[in-house]
Amino acid sequence: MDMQQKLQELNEKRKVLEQGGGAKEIERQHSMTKLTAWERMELLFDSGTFRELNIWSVPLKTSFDIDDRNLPRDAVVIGYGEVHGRPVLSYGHDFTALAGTQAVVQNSKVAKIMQRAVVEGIPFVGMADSGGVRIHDMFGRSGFRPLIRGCTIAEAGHLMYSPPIASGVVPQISLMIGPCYAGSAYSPIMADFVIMCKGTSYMSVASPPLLKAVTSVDATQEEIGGAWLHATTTGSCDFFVESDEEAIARCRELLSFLPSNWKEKPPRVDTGDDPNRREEKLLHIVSLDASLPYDVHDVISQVVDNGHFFELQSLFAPNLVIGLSRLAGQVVGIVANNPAVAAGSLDVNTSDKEARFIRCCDAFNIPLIFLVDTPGFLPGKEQEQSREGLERHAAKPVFAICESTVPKIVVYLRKCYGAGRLVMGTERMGVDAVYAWPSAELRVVDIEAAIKEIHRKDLTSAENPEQWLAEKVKEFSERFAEPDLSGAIQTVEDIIDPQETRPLLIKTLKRLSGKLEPARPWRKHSLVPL
Amino acid sequence: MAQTMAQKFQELKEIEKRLKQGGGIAEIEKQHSKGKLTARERVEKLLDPGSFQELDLWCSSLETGFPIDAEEHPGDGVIVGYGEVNSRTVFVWSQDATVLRGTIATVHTRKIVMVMEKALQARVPIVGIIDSEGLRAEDSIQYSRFFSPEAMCYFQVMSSGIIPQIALVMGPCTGEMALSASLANFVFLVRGTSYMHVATSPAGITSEELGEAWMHAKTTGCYDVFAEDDEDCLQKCRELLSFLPSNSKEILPLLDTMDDPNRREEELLDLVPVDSSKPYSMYKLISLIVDNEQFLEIRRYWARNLIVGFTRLGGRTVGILANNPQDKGGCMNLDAADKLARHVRFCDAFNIPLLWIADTPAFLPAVDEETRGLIRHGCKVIFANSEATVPQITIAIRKLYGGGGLAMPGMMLGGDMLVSWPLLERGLMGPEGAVSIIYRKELSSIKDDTARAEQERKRVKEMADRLDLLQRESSQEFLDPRDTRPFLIKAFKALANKQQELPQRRHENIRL
Repeated sequence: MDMQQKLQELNEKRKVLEQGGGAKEIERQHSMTKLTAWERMELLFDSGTFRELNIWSVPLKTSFDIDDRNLPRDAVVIGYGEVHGRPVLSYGHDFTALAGTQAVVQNSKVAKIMQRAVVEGIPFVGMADSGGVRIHDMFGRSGFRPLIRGCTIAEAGHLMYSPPIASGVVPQISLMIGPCYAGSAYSPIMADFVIMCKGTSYMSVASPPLLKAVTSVDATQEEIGGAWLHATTTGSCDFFVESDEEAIARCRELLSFLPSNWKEKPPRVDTGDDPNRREEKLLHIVSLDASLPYDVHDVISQVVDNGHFFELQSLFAPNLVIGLSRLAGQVVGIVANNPAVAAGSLDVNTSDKEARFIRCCDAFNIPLIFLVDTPGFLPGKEQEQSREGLERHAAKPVFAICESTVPKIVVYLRKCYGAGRLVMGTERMGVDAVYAWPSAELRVVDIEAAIKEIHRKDLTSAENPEQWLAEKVKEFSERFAEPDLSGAIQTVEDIIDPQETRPLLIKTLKRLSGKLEPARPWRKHSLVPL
Repeated sequence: MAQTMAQKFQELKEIEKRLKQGGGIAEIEKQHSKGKLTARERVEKLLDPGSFQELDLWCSSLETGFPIDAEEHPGDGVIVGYGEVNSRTVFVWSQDATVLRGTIATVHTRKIVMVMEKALQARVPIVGIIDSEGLRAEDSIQYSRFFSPEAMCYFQVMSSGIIPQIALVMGPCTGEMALSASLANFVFLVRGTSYMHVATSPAGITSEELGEAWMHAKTTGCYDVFAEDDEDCLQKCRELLSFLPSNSKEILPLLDTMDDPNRREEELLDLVPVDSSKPYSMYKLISLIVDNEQFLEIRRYWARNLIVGFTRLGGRTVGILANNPQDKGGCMNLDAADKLARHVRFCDAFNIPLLWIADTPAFLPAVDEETRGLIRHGCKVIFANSEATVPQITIAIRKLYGGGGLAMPGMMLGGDMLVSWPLLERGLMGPEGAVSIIYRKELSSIKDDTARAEQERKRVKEMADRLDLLQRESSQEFLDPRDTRPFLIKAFKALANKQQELPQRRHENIRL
C-alpha cells in the first residue's frame, strides 16, 4: 500500500465519522428542527474556514455493552474557523451520537477548546445539545477519576473549571440549542453570553421526571427550563431566538462587537454614518413633563450608527435597556432606563442586568454610555422585603460602575431621583463625562419633603399651611431649578442641545479613546456583591 | 491679652468637651431610651480601652442659608478616627444620631471618605457605624455633588478585596446609605433598632417595619451578622476582626489558642448516623473539631441549609462551608449558592484557607427554585470555587451527590484535597438507578419475572461493588473521624504557603 492508498482508506473512514450517529439519527435531529453539530459549525464560521480537530477520538471502554456501539468523536465536534475573518474556537455536542451524552473523552475535547482559547487569546463558542451525563461512562470509567491530561483536576472537572478561569480573558458565548439539564447546563451558563432557542432549548437542574419523583409536582420542560422562561423571568439568557439558524446568526453578529481577548479593543468598522449627524427628531421624543412616558429605543436609534442597536436581554427587566451599538464605527455598550416600562424604575432585576453588562463591557474594553431617565427605586414592600434581597442586588451596579475603568459617559435625558443617581453613575464614581438635556431634572431629595423638613416650624405656625407650602414649593423650584443647579454645582459638565447628542458623544469618545488604565492598588480580585 | 500655651490649650479642651457631648444631654438621653448607645460610646466599646484617636472633631457644617445654620452641629454628626482592636489598628466612623439625627451632609461625608481613604492607604480594616436618618435636606437640596454617599461608594469599591470593610447598621440606614452599607464585606444588624431599606416607605408602613432587621436576617439575606443589642453587635464585630488579616497581603500569624492540635474526639465516632437519611448536628461536628469550639457564623438565619463562617484550627483562621443535614436535608439551593460563593470569594481575597464539610444530596429539585434562576445562581459556586487559590480541603462526611460535588468541590475545581469519613456516598445516583439505565435492554428481554428479578439483583450487586470501588478511589484518604482535627491542622500547615497563578485579566465576569 502506498501513501495515496492509505490516504484513500483514511478518507473513507473519515467520511463515516463525519456522519455522526448515521442517517437515521440525522433525520431525527432534523425532525426536531435542529441542525446537526457539523451543520451548525458550517453556519457559524465563514464559508469553508471550519477545521475540525480530533475527529478520530473514541470513547473510553466502560466494560458495559455500550462499548460495542459506534460513537464517532465521542459525540462532540470541536474545531476552529473564522468569523468575519477572525479566529474563533468552538465545540458542539453531536446529538445524533447517543444524544450527545457527556463522557470522559467528550469532556476532555470540550475542555481542550476552552483551554486553547485562553492560551491563544481568542473567543470560544459552545453549542450545547446534550442528553446529560452518560451513565455508562460514569459508572464504568468514572468521571471521578483524573484520566487523560491533568494531575489534580479531572477532565470532567475542567469542563467546569475552565469557564471561570477563562472569564474576562476571552469572550465566551453559549448557544443552548438542545436540552441542558443539571451538570450539562452549569458549564455553558457561565459564559458571558447565552443564546436560547424557542422549543428546543431546555435548561434546568431537575428534569420533569426527576421533579415528579422527588416533589410529586407535574411541570413541563417549558415551565421549568424553557427558553422563554429564561429570557423573561430568570434572566439567564441574553437572546431568545426561534431557530438554530437565527441563534448562529446572532452569535456571529455578537462576535463582531467583541475583541478577541481582554487586551484588545473591539474591532472598528466603517459604518458609513455621518459622525456629525444632528437629529431634529430628538427635540420631540422626550416631554418636559416627567410623568409622560416614551420609548428610549427611539432615542438610541437616532443617536447610534445607522440606528442599529443590538439589544441584549430585551425580554428581561425591560425597564432598563442594555445592548451594543457603534458610534462612528466604535463599539459602545449602552445602558438606558426605559420610561415606557414601569416609568423606567429600578429594581432587583434591573440591577442584575445592568451590573453584569457593565462588568462584561469593562472586561472587554467596551466604552459605556448611560442614558438616564429614572425615578429610582419605587417604594414598596414587595421589593424591599423580597427574598431576592434588594440591597444586595441594588449595590451591584454601583459597584460595577466604580470598579470599571473603560470610558464612561452619562447623558441625563430627564429625571434622575434619589438613589437612582448612584445606580446610573456620576462623575465622582469615575464617570468621565456627564451631559444633560434641557429636560434633565436631578433630584436627590423631593422638594416638598425637603421644605417640610427644613421649615417644619414655619409650616406648623403658618396661618394657611397649604398655601404657605405651595408658595414655598414655587420659591424652591425656582431657587433650585434644574438642570441649572446641576450645572452650577458641576454635577453635569454641560447642558446640551439634544440634536447635538450624537456628534458630542462621538467627540467625547474620541477624546477618551486613549484613556489610560488608572492606578489601582493590587488585589487578588474585587468582591462584587453576589 | 497674652495667654500661656497651657491656658490656650485649656480653652480648647473646654470647647472640645462641649463638642464631644454631641447633640447634648437631652438628645443623649433620647438615644439611650431607644436602647441604643451613643456614637461615642459605641466607638469606645468597639475599640480597645483608651485606644481611640479622634480626627476632625472640629469640622462644622457647610453653610446652607437655612435656619439650621444658627445652631452648632458638633462634628457635623459623625465621629471619625482610628484605634485598636485586639492591639491591631482599625479605622472607624460612627454616625451621631444626637446631632441632627445623624443626617448626611457635605462635611459629614467628607469626614467619612477621609477615613476610608486613610484606611485603604494604611491597609487596615475599616468599620462604619451607621445610625442616620438619611440625607440632610438643607444640604442635599443644593450640594448633592460635593460629598455624598456616592463618594463613599467609590472608596468602598476601591478598597474591595484589599482591606476588610464592616458596616454596623445600628439605627436607620436607608436610601443611598443602604447601598453603601451593602458594599461592605460584612453587614451587622441589631434586633429592634436597625432598619434598612432602599426606597422611601410607602403609605401604611413605617420605615422601621419596612426594613426591619429580623426580616432581613431570615428573608432577604441582606446582612451577615445579626446581633441582639448594641453591646452584642460591637462584641461580635471585635470577634470577627480577630479572624481577619488587616489586608489582602497579610497572612495572620498563628494565634496560640491553647487547644491541643492532636486532640482526638471520641464523640465524633458516633455523631453521624450510618443511615444517610438521618440528620445530625453539623454545628456539633464543627465545634468538636475546631479550636475551643469557637465558630463565628455568618448569615446564620438565612439559607440555613448551608453553614458558613470563621473558625481556627491550630490557631490558623479557616473559612468553613458546611452542609446542614438538619435543614432541607443538607440540599444545596439558590440562596445557599449565593451564600457559599460570597464567603469563598471573601476568604480567597484575604488568604483565608477554606474547609468544606460535605454531606449533601445535591441541589434541591423544585419548580420555584428553577423559575427564580437556580442555574444562573448555582453556577456562582463553580465560579467562586474554581477561582479560589488559597489552600482548599474538602471532607466528605457522608453524602456527596451530583451538583453537590461542585458546591463542595473536593479536587474537582482545583481544590487541594478530598478526604472522607468511612460513610462516603458519592456519584450521580445509587446502583439501582444505574442498573435500570445500563441494563434496561437486558432486563426487559427476560420474560420470566422471577428470573428477571434474580438477574436484576445480581446486576445491582455488581454495580454496588463497582461503585464502592469508585468511591474509594475518589477519596484521597479515609479518616478515622476522631482524627479529623489533627489531620486538618497538619494538612493546612502543609499547604500554608500555597501559590497559584491564574491568567491575567482585568476581572472575571461572574454571574451576578
